Amino acid sequence: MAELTYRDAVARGIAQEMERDERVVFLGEDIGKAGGVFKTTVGLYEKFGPRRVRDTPISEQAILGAAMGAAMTGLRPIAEIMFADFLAVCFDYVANEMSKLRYMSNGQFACPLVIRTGNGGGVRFGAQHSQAVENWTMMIPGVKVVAPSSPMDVIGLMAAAVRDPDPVIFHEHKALYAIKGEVPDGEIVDRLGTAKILRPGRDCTIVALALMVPRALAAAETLQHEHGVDAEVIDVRSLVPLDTQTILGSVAKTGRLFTVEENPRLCGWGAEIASIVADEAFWDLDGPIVRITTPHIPLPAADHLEDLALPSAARIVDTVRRVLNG
Amino acid sequence: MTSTIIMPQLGETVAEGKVLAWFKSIGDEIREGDNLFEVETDKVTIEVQAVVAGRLSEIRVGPGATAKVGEVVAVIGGDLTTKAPVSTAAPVAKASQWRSPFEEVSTPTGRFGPAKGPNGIHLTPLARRLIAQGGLDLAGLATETQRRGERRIDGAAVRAAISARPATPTGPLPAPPPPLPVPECNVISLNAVRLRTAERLTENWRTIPHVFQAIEVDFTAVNRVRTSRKADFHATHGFSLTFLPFIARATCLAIAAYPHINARFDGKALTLSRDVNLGIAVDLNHNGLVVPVVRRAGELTAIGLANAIRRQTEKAKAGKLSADDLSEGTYSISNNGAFGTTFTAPIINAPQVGILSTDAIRLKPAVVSTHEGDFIAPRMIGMIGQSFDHRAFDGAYSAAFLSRLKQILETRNWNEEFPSDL
Repeated sequence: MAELTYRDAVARGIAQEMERDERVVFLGEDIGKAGGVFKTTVGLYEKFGPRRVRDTPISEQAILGAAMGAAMTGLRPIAEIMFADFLAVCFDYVANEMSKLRYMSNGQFACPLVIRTGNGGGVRFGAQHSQAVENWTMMIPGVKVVAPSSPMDVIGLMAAAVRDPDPVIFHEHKALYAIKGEVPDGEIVDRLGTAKILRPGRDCTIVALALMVPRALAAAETLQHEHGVDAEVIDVRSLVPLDTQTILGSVAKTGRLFTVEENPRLCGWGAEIASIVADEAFWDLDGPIVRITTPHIPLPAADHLEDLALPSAARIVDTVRRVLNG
Repeated sequence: MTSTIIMPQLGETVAEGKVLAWFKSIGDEIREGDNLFEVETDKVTIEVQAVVAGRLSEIRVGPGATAKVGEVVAVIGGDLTTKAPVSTAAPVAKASQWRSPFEEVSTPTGRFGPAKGPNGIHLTPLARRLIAQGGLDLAGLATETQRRGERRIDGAAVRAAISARPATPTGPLPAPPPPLPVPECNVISLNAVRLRTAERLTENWRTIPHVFQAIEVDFTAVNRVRTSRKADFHATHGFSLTFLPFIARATCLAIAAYPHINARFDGKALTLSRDVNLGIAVDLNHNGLVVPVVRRAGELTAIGLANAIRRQTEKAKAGKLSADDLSEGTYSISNNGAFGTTFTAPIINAPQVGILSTDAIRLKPAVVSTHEGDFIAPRMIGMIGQSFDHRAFDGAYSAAFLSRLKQILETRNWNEEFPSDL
């Protein structure tokens, strides 16, 4: 057992899979000698060499195009898109090519690759480098989407993503890179499509993802101690496939659902969960489903404005308390 | 060494079963107790488990295919065979959870009443469901809520009202859940289980000459014991003591005196059964009917029956009944008391020859004879009815049985059913 940062867990997760499988290669901007602009890939170049760890030009299309070709011809690439915002630059590959390849070739080709990307805000990078875009990727049929919130989950879900036979988009959260967590020694392999109940509770269900998970947990503690509300907190972890059973089971128990989303409100992932719960668990609901989200705005760079825009633990506490008492 | 897996006996009158899904693939290592495949009968779907360990080497009956009871459906051990099963559908991890991409969510079709209650009070969806399922008096609850100055009934309010409700059915009749909506031209296709239930019921109704008799029973003595024991009973067993176990116990005792009631009839001969295997009809929330069996019910006390019936109904509601739970019934009870009906004429479950029905038991004015004369007094009165197969015996026999049943219910020392240390 060791204490690891989220950032170090990224490197360990990639190394674990590169050691296990010769076919796993890694490419992206400044990921080699520089060790990644967020220092998430330190040591990989030294360990696995320039053939398997490749620096690329600043061209997202080139990165994903190369990764897709490699995947089609037998490798298992991990490609880094430094800022998730720039998935937009190579969106054709994601939305039209790699996600449709297996289906359109009738299974003659597969595309087993992982796109790692630095997602989300809270680090003052402004409107083009801070967006939480997990909902962009969730809406594409043919890709899987995960977003871990802890070092342990980073390693386990990375392994699951690399070993999956189809494209997986792996959202790392830039504001979580510095957090620490206990990680057991040895190989860690998790399962895609599984949510985790991080804090059991009776009064309401709070569903969160990535950076919103620690905030939901902090809010749940405050709700318990200051307001006597016993909230259950679920880390969704995987948007596609979505673990609806865990969420529905929790709502069946508590009767109340809150989603905490960093993505802008319109068409955020919580809207899909709200829709599923309204459909399947209507008769378990003891009140309206409430979404706590970033508003539908370009994210400001100014400290106080960015803090105001992203859901905070205080906003979660206020909303839950107000809604449950109302 | 190889072992064959056969289609199990799925119930006394079931000749074949349809494999819905395989949970294991050829080459999988099977442990004893692993779920192998799911099979559909006319009553339930059942998961069949392995009784031997080994490698699954052959699947002879694939998903969607039907096999006769006793037919080999798969082989464990032996050489791997690449022979394709009858159907090529891929095995799924858990059949019940698989969904077509075109049905990503299953919208519930049940309805539990409007969102606005009496006097414009709002009801949450959970509150509406709990009120309907708990048979709660909505008007009373709404008045109570309004008196507290509140405008909304939520799940917590309903749960509080349910736990505060007196256990004896002396209050106003519980409101029945509203019927499922049947808008014009809304065609509801029966699923396979319902279709085959319909076939069985039609066959039984068409071929058996049913006669229905009912007798009025004074449950005051039973209710006195039930009321004095119910708190201890609930504390010990965790559920409520109802009238049903007393009726089931009295039925077993009456059968001892009238054994022709507890028998199978094949058109030529009546075969009396030594054991009383009591079928209890369970409504699956308006979504079908199953009749799980309490085996050797004649050997159980009222408490034993209460526990056994509870176990079987819980299993039925959870969809966990096995073939054994549904086979070899010798007599059945249909209990409709919860909805306040006066009597019910049920359809016999062939090859059984009779079925008992019990309905609401409530306080009514009745004539009580004492040595000081006749008086009108409030008594707990209910109807016990029986449909019987007139080919198996005649009305006088059935009437004598019902009369004996009434006598037992009214005069037995029911305290004897309870061990002194309870």
